[in-house]
Amino acid sequence: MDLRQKIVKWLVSAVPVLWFFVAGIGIGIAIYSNDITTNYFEKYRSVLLLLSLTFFLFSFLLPKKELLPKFSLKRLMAIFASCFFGIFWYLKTAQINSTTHLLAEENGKYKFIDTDISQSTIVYGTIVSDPDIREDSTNIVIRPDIIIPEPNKYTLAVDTSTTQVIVEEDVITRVIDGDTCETKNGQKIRLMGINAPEIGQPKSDDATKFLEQKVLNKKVKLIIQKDYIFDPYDRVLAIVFVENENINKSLLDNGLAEYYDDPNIQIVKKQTSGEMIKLEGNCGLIRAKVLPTIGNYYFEMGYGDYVKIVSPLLLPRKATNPAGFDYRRYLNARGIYAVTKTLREEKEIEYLGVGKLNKFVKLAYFLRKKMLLCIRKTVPYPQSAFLGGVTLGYRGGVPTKIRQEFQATGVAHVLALSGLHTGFVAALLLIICNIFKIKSFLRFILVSIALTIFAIMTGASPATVRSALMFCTGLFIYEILKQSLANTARVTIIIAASSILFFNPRLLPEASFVLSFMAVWSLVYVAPTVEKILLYSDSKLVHQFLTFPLFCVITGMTFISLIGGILQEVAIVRKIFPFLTQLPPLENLFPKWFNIESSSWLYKGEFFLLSIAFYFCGIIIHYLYSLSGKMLVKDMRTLSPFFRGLIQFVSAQVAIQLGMMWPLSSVYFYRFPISGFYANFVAIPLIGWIVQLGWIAGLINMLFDFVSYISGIKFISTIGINIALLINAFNTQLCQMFLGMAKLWGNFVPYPYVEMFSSESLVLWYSILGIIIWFEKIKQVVRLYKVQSVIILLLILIFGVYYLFPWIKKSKKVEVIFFDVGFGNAVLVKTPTKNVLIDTGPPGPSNWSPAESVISPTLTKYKIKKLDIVVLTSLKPQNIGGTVHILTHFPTKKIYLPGNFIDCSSFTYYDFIEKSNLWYYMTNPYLYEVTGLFIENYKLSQFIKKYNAEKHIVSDTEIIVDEVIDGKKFIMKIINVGKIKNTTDEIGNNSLCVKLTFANNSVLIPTQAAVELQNVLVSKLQQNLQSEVLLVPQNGHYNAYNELFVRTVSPKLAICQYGWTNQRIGYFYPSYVVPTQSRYMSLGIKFLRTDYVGAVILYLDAEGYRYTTCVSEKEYKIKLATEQLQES
Amino acid sequence: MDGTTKMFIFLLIVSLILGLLVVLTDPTYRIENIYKTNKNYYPQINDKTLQKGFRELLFETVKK
Repeated sequence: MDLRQKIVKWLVSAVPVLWFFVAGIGIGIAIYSNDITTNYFEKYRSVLLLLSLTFFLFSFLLPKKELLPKFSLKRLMAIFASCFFGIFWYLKTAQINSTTHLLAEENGKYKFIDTDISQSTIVYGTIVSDPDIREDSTNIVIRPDIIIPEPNKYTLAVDTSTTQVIVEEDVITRVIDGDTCETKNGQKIRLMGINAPEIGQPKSDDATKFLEQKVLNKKVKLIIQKDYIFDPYDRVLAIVFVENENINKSLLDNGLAEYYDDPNIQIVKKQTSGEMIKLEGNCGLIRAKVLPTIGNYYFEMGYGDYVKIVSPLLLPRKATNPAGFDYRRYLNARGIYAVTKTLREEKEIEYLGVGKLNKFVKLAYFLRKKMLLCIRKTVPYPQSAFLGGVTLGYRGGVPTKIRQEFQATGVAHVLALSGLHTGFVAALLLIICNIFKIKSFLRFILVSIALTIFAIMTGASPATVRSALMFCTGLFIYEILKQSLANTARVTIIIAASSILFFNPRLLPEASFVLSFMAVWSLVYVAPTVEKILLYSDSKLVHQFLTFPLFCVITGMTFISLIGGILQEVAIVRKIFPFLTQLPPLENLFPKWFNIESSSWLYKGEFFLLSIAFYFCGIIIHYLYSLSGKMLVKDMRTLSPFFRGLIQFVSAQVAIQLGMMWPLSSVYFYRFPISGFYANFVAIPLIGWIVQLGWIAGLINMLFDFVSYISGIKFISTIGINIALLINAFNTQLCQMFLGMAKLWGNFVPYPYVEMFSSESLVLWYSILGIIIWFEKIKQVVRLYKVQSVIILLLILIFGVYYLFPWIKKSKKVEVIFFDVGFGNAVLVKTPTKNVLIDTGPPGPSNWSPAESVISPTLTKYKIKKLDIVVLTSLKPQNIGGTVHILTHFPTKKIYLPGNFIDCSSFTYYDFIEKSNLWYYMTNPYLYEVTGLFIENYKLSQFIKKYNAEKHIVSDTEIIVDEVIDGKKFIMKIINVGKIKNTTDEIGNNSLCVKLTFANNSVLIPTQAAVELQNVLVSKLQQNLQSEVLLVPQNGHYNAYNELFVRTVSPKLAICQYGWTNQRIGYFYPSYVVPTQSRYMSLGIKFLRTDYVGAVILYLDAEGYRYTTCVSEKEYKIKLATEQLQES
Repeated sequence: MDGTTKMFIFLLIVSLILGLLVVLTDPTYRIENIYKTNKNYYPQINDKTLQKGFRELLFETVKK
């Protein structure tokens, strides 16, 4: 037996073992999902278990004569062993990852350290990535070498290296509070750089007394920053010294004040360093976001540079909502366990020299830069950004609008380097080998080395590493072991998957990992079946109603894409035919009657109609042609190679849509780019040629430069860059065409939210697909093993009845989801028959507002396409900010508005202040709270006026939902106690409260009720207010705390919707919530803050209530402990 | 040489000819003009920094 046969034999035995190793890791994730993964995997546990069962069944179904071995007891044992090894491996790895983050050396032994060092920390380490430069910041990945946590001690001194100081002496005659005092001539002094508790807050009296003790009636020295003397309240900002004691620092050291960071003050705030931790071995990485500062915008550090960073290390953020993005899981899968943010200033990030580097990686990054320089010289902007992205993975610089259009079109995947791009590069390399007649072994070696360099050059992302590994393995099996293409693909998938998962099992739940393998799986297994139906079916019906009409739809849409793309963007075409610039955009050419309003869940009418029109065109042409006695496509096998190739391409596309895009796109992204099906028919070949031309130009330039360097003749380099210019000049036209096409489709077809595949429907989908693919084999197996088949069928039926028909077990509970929308309110109430949304969260940046990124995906996840009721409890921006987005995407039957709602769409700003009785702001109308209020109300009024739904302004207490669930009454009512006038918070005091009652449990939701409204509620409703769960009013501000109200409600659980917002809408700092939290806790009430625990999901049933939080209790405790540590 | 390779070479030649046409007809396709449009796109990657990088790659010793 020669070596080749031995390897093949080894592979034959290894493949099932590896399959079961992968299945074992899947089961490991499912078992361990409670602690370390999000509730996503908890939900999909059944899918993973079923997948492993499927793999097990496949071992029976797969053909014996092909690569898989004959079934035997010995092999069964090996299979089980590999499965258990997979589980063991995952649990072991997961355990390490879940509790520990960075590896440190202590007395010659390694230990793991926690990275949640929220205080400032000094990190020394080497940059191990090519900096990813974005519009607003640069991301670098650092391999830490030394970490020095700084103790929580402050020294406060004006930084005289950056500014000058004035020194004055005076006598303090009055202390106002913990950080403010007054001199004998009445000048108020504000202690610089610190913030003591306000009057009424805990420790406020202690701070005031401390300051009195230290400075009252004493001569003090005031250190004042020369260029920033007064604060906005005309108080002198100073560091106060009594003799040699720094009073500001003493307040901090005694825990009576906190450090306050004002960008205008130049102070040195930290003193000594903590104990040094030396990190050794294969430790976790740190991702640093470096923010730019004016005058030093561009980052000149690169791979291999040794740097010092002074900034707090933090844990990456976990998913905080039911359908949120788990950033921590994403980074952990890439070996990153801590994040930090620094300013691009020497005191925060400093270059120290050359660190530990790998010359090979350094060379790859050098080549990457060389290639980008060629693009910068030969391709104009913005096409250069596009080409840099698709060839080298430089994602910075692609304009946001282009990115959005790509997303809407469903071709965004071309911007992120993936297996597709690696495939084009591999194809290019193979063609180059063909031209130079390089065969088998040498070809395998050269292509593998080149692909490895390519993977490193493009940042070694999991996607490129994975695909490069697959191509290299595939090439080995195909070239060296001389296996058939089909066998090569089958073995490659499993070897690549198991080897990647062996080193990093946490990649298994990754979207890119699953999507990429499922795409290859679809090409290998589904595409031949589709091809068989489309190309080799003898049925006339298939020809007439499937193959030809499908061909017509695709050709028609492709033609529109190409023409649209060329007309819209290709400069040279517009130059030659200037009249084309006069044409309106293609999507505007359709008559108005054709423009149907967006349907609730899928896509624009014209797109749908156009597809149908093409489809019927196909049928009619086919039918008319067959009337003449001939079939248009009688036998596909007689078609020319070009058309056969085209139909094969169509089959591959259809297979990818069936096997990956349709079921999994909705699972991972809650959206399905419907136009992607058509757009990809042009996008994939076009991008292939763009990538290959880009690389050819870059390689020619590099080759000529190299020859020029060796020979010393500069002219050779000039020739190289000019050839690259010629190639890229044409490539630019192709890029323009691609961008034009994306623009056309982006405008033409919106990017809809679609119903997400549930775990049950996924099982059903893939089972049907499996039966279609392996129909013949299943038939053979059933004939051979009749009894076993019946048993398996029965098992599947039992499983099916239990999992696939959840509607048999009718829901008997009410779910109340308190979203984590940052600073704002949004609560979803889900009963068995109704879906009610209370408030829509704060406004936010386009494409990333909480309504868009939190509420919509969650509604989609719960399969909610329409809302029965939307209640807007208050007119504050944090309650109505997402209304336009929600109502646009989720048709709503009825909208309840607070009694003080006025249509202000025709008001001026001053009219609004006057009509809303905002007397408090009349004298100072330019406060951002009130401008934000007006803007959001104006937008809401304009939208509501046109919106087609029943609108109701609440003037009295009303019951909005009344149904019987599980024999008990569920009532949801809006409480309105009438107008409360002339208070300092008119909007809050006229807001609505919502009360849910189910069996003996109640939930009270007084979103923005101010103290006055709370008093009225107490006096009017008294014991009727009593509830088990209370939403803390006014996002937890201590000013809205009313002990009488809380005692009357007497909740067991208080939920506070609080968090960060980048909108200036009355946001307040966490220190304003802390007193509220401690007051609730002192009354024995459990207090959950959404910025700590994420969304809270409350389940109400006939028995009682229970709740879960998106961030686990363990995480929450770590966070609390860290804060307490900082306080102490 | 197989069909795919021939097709590839043909397309490459066509691309070169069309590229030449574009360069001849449109004066914006000059290296200096193109370079100007990219002044804000990764400006830190230029001939100077690359030469420095090349020197570092060849001669720099590892130190800490």
